[in-house]
Amino acid sequence: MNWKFQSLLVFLVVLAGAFNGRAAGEAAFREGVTHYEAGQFEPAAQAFRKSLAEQAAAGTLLNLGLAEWRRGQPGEAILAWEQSAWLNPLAADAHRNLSFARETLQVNPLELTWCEQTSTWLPASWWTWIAGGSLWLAVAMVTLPGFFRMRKAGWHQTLAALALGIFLSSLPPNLGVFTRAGIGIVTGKDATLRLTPTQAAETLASLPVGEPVHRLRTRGDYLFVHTQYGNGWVARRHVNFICPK
Amino acid sequence: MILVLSVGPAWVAYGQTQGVPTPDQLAQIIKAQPVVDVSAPVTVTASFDPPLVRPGEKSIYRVTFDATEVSVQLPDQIPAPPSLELHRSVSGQNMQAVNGVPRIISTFNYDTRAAQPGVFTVPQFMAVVYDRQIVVPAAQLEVKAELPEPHEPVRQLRLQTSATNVFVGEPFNVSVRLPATANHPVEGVGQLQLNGEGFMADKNTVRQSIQTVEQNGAKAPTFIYETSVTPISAGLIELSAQGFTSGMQFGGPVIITGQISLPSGQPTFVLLESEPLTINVRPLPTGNELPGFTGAVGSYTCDLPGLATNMLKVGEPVQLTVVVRGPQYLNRISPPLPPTVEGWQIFPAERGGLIAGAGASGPGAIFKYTLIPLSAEVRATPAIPFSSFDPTRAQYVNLTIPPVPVSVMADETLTNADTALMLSGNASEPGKKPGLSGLAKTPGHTAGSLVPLQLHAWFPLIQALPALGFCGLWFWDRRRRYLEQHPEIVRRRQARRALRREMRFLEQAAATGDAAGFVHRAVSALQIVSAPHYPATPRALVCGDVLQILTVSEREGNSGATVRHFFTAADAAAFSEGAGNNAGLLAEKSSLKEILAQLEARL
Repeated sequence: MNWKFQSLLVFLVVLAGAFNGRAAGEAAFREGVTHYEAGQFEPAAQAFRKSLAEQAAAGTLLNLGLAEWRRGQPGEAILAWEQSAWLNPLAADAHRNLSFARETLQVNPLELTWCEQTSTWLPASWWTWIAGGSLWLAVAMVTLPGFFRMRKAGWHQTLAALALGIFLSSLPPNLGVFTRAGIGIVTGKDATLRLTPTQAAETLASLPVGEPVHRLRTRGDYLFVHTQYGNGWVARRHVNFICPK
Repeated sequence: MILVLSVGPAWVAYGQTQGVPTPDQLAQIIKAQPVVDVSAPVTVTASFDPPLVRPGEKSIYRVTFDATEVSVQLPDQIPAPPSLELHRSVSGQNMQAVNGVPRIISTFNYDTRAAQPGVFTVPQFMAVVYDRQIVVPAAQLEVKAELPEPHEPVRQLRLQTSATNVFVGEPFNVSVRLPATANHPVEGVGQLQLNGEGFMADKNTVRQSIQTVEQNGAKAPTFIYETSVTPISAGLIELSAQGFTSGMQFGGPVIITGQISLPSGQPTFVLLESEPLTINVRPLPTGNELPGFTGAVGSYTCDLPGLATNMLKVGEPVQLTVVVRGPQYLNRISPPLPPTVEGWQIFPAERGGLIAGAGASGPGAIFKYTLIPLSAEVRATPAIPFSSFDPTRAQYVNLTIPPVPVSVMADETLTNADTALMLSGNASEPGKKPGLSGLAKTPGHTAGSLVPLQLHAWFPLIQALPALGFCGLWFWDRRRRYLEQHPEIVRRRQARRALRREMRFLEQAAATGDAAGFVHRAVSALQIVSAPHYPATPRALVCGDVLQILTVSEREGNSGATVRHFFTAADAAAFSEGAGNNAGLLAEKSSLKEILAQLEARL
């Protein structure tokens, strides 16, 4: 067997695995929809989670949030809708559900910086492609005509300037994606904001389920977070992050 | 007599909160703070307080470090005698001036008891401070059955609560007291904190006072710290307090009642603790909750709502004011969410502050709802469900805000489309919870992971690939330009390549005994290796041209002769009708290769 045949075989196996995972994810998604429509919210949530284990999808997360909300897990529901909006901020349903849930639970969204606000306009990974693509396009437009002995045309310069402008404009949203990755949702009950990272520390505030927190740093099993109640330490087990690492 | 004593820094602190400081002001404030000295050698003290106790009586083994609390690592087990019970209790740090320099002093308390009389020594042991080994000195506790009177027991904070059996969400008062003793005059307690799980202390309701309190039949001036605590989880709560004695330094206003002499002098900061207190927190009963319960626990009533005006126009906002009255903890009440009803758009309530009570009506909290009538058909504001839990009766109380009659006029300035738009945002579909979206029928936008590309560790490497490509292009272009300016390098390189090819053919011809081919390849190789020196096309060179490349000695020696032989034989083969016998030239292969090697070296 020569190396070309071996490479082709490996490629086909990987491709088959990817298709198989995608098919399994869609089967679990359909199973979740069936359970949900039958009013069986817990099995529906399990099926949507199974689907997400195969493939992260905005629609699956939206449905997971609905199932969690219906079975009385508002923190998990808000987390799922936040993740759905994180994957596809252009879809209105997740935002609508978040507004409704926050109004019902009386929790406020975290105040985002302008960088973070702009990063919500497009899916997080798109900003990377925009920044990378525009940067290298600008570099290519400046250098390639020289390399390939092409006459430098006005459109080369225009395209390079345009690409550079897009690149510079995409830097703040990329920074916003980095900082927004530290946003989490309180999903555990009895979450308390403490003065120091110890179990017996003085309580600053009780964090309601669904409350957004911004991780500033970590120490042991505690996170130092920024909340609308101020800064403090919260047990790690009470918080789940929109962008899990 | 009531005297309100306030401390300068406290008022300064209040003054600072009136305006939001700018970043420059913050920088000035930070710069104005005293520099904390952490560079000096760490000093450690260890002692028992009191050092002389009866059997079974509590004493505190107290270790202090001249370092921050987090930097101190004490061993899990203190090397104490086996008959001496020693349990870690509380720890804390505060800032003290040592020789005029602010230092952070950390204190670690251990509860100790000995059942039998004797002298118990905790030997010196090692602790780690700032990653350095520090010796904690030995300390001695003497336990005697008979002690000389008067004997003062261990000094502790006294914790009292207004209730020990409460419901979740039911606030209760907590009082922490430090009475004066024969050896210790009355003094304040700083950095006071309540320890435990499952409750929330209210910092906004703290009151500090000094008054004479009778305890165990004797009156003594006592420092009292009061606040309120709200349990947030059901079960048994262990509540305890800790704080540093602070002399006459109080972290806020203090009310002094009666004739009390206040000592002067520098305070001694000693970490004190209280015995824990167990609070039984019962869960709120489930199953019979009333609509609109937002967690209000207490004895509350709701006044009749007040509407700014009863004559409304469609689309015109109006304010509905609701007052909830109760004895205390009014700032804890969350207003009920407005219902979704047809014909009205209602915004969630805003807090309107607290009102003091007078006469029969107690204090109250004001909530203001903004309502917009969307139709001229409505005749009253909607009822807003609200309820509270009364812990004294252990049942939920209905406090629903009743409807208020209104008269709504149609507004001609609003079009039908505007009204339809306003209604669509508020309309409720039967059997479906308003506001939630429908189920997604397809997984939709997919991604490999929730973690975006830029947060993956391999992302910078991927970005390096285009950079490497452009670098490669740049090097290629630079090299090309260089070669364009130095064509002789290209010619020599081509000559070397062609020479290697000819040498291969030469070897083949020699191996097969093809003398004519050998001569042809030999001449061709000589021409190729000589051409870059002129420069010229290799086939245009003649024997003389090749000889010019050789040195005079080579030209007149064997090398020159060999070259001539090969060119002569080649010319004969090319221009004579009968080719001569060139078999003898095969024997000159080694000298030919030598000449070619010399000429190649001159390229």
